[in-house]
Amino acid sequence: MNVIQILDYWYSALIDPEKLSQIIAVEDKKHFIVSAVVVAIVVFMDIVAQSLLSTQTSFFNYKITYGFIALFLLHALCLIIYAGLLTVILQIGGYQASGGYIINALALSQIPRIFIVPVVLIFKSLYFAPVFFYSAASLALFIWSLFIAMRCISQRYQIESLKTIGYIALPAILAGVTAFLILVAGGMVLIGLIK
Amino acid sequence: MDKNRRILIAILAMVVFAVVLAIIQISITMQRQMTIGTRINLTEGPGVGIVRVYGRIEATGDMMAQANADYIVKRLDALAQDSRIRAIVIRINSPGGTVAATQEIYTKILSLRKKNIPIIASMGDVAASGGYYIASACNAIVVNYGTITGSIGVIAMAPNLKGLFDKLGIRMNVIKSGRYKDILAMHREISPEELQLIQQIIDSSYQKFVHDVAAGRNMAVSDIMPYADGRVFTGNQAVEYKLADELGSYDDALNKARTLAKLPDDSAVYDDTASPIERLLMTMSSFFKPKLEQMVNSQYSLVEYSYLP
Repeated sequence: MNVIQILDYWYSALIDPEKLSQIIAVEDKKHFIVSAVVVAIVVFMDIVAQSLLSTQTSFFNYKITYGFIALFLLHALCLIIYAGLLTVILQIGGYQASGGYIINALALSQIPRIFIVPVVLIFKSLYFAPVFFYSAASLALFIWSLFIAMRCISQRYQIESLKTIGYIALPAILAGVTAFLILVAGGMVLIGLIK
Repeated sequence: MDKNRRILIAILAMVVFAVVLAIIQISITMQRQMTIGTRINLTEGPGVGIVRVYGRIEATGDMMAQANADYIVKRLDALAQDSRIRAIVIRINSPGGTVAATQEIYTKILSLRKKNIPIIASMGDVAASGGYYIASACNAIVVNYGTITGSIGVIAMAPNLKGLFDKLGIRMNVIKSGRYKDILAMHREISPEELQLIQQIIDSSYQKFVHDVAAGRNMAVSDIMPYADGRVFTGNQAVEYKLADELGSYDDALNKARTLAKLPDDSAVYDDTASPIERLLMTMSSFFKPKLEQMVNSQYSLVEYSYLP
């Protein structure tokens, strides 16, 4: 993989999500390393941005080592679970969804998140409401990421844009409802067992 | 390479530059603020160091421990080694904790007193049992009127789940090397001999507790004994029984420390502000370096032997 190919991932994700969709549509497994690197960079950027906003102590050394490893693993696990759920939902919806493609699409759609550090650094240096702008930029970058994921999936499986957003949001809704039901059922079973 | 790619490279280079700048800023601020695990501002002069003992006192290094004795002892050491620290205020909001952990903190405070560092205890909502034990080692105790304190005594607890086990049909197979090896086992009733053995340990720890409180407070043991029956009392009663020196807030304790150290009223305060989340991540290193000692300790986590109300 040469520099031009690596740049193509970033360029496509930021400017032309349809092209990104075409790139990752070929050989899912080939793009896993790039996806993992993107997730690692995003986690690293988040830690740096949040460290800029909080009290700066030698605790930063822990955050950037153990904290980075823990967050990376957690982030990757969440991504895989979410992608798995989304794949199943798309397959139930009648689309030939591939888990590998969805993982790559969701991971690479997070590329805009790298801009969080420059935003926080600027407002932190200006002493101008850095926490507010961190929140606002986080929201804006999340919407940008959602847009990229939506365009990729929409393009790959020929789904309408609004419908795609619905499909992307469904795993989160399902996971929330399931977690709630498991909590209630678990509580009832435990109480029944003790009684 | 086309124009768009060049623009992208420029943007990515700026992002990398921003990250480098951010890390440099964090590192510089970090260097300024930190010395041997304490948050001390190098630009400020002599002042009072603060140590916070919040929650149950333990020495396990457990991530859930709110008042880790190792951390508190290390913090006290760091403050004692810093030439700008002329007095220490120990803010206590704790119902007590395990015997050994409490004694470690007590011993450390006494050793600092011998170095002529005035140490003042400031009690919050609760400073009972082990919380009071460590306060008694200080030069003076400043207590709020409504603080719950006292509870001078030792307690050992182990859950008796025999009824639950019987109900669920669970039976334990115990292979042991000595008759008391499974003392305080949760699956059966405790025998009278076992009860006596535990009572001896409790009595021994209780005697140590009372004698240490008397030594720390410069009082006779006989003066402590009438109130050392496990009862709790308010801050006002503690002053009345001479188990605390004066009523007052955290600020009053701070001022008392300044007075004892002959510091001006506006002298610096070096607080310990590590948040629970910070401490939680700090202890993550233990996950990567598991110790046999911790694994052995975890087997006995259901047995409690503590200074607790």
